[in-house]
Amino acid sequence: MIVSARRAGPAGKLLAGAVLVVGLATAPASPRALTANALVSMAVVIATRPKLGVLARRGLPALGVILALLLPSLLAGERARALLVGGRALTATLAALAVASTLAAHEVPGALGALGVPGALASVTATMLRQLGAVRDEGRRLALARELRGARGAGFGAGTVAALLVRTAERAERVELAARLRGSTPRGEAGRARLRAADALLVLAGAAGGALAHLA
Amino acid sequence: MPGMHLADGVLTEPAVVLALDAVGLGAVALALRRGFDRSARGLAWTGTLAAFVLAVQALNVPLVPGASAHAIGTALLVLCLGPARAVVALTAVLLVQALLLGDGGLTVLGLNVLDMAVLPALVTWGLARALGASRDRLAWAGFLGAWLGTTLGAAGLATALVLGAGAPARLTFAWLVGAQSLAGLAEGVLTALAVRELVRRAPRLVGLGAARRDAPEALDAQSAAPGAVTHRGLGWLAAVLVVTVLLVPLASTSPDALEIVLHHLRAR
Repeated sequence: MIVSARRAGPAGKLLAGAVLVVGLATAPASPRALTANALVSMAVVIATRPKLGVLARRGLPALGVILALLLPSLLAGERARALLVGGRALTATLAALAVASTLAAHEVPGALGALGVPGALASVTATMLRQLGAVRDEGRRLALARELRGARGAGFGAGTVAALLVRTAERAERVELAARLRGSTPRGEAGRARLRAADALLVLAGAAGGALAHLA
Repeated sequence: MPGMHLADGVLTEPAVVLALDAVGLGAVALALRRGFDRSARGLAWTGTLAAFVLAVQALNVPLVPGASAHAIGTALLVLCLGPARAVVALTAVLLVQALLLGDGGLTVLGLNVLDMAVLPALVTWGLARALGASRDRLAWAGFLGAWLGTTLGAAGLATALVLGAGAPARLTFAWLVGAQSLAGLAEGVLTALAVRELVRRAPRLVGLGAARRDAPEALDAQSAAPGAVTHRGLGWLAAVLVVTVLLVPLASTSPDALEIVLHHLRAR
């Protein structure tokens, strides 16, 4: 499975991950199913070998969100059920994060296109991911300029947000023009990946993992 | 509580998940079919603003001890792109957050789209149409759209938890709608001030007519004359500044989510 996870194409990884997560997220809220969910999630983490620091940085906020969503049930005294549901949600999220660690962001739009997501949505996703670095760089420049002017604190005010939007628009216009002159289009980037026959094994493994939790 | 992203596995009633997902994703399909500019420039501009929102969403504002929120950006996006393109852009944001960040679940993507994109977009667009296109009125539409949209989205999420997970109704509504209306107030203030600033600096970027344009042109040449702020606007600005000063400086300096997406971009 480890070899398969690394060799599979992005569309295969995405589909296998989705099938697995659907299986884990819809498993019964029982102690046996939760144990199976935890074992499957652990197996996925071992198979995909994500960076544990990144997994923790995303997993802990996810745990916070799950607890916040279940807080009313906990306060109403439905602790056992809320904990089972929370455990199921956490294992599904951890499995999703582990699968995500095998994907590079630039592979996502192509994989979405290969899986039948509308081309316009995949193209918008491709442009969004390409422009993200530019937005980050402009944000850093604005923050630095703010610091050099003597501003204190970490706050980003409305003026900064507006300035960031205007600068992003200007830079995006230049970047898109350069990309079009090179013959690159958002549609082209989103339409390259294909679902291959070799991905079937990984998708089957994902389905088996999801099914395990239901059979427990 | 970063935003209102519902995670996989929290809802226990598959029929409720399927129904709400169908409504959310159906709205995206409708947005793609009607009023969505598919030209290369249109796609590029929509994607660029989606990147802007993804970056802004990485900044968290603490609400109460143990809970924080981030701006959703829907109202600002609606005033720059119109409702159809704003919904598509936010769907792209939510999709990447679910796929790469574990922020919101894949099985409840349609529900998150409904709560965080469709409902706030409809509220903001309705308000913008009703209030008109002047600088002050657009700012009001931004403020009310962000606030009411966030609150309505939280009510939608609470409804989903009550119907789909058997959560106690009174506690769930009080907790989610209460906390998120506070976050929405902060976002509303930020959106209103950003809209005013945008109208001053780059009027072609924002407004009711922005929905019909594929991308701004020659932004540098569009700055309006400074000093056009009215007395009424100054009073309003002073009131919202108080809230901004209290809340915005608490924003986190470590936008982890953005760094992780960029890490994914650099990988391989």
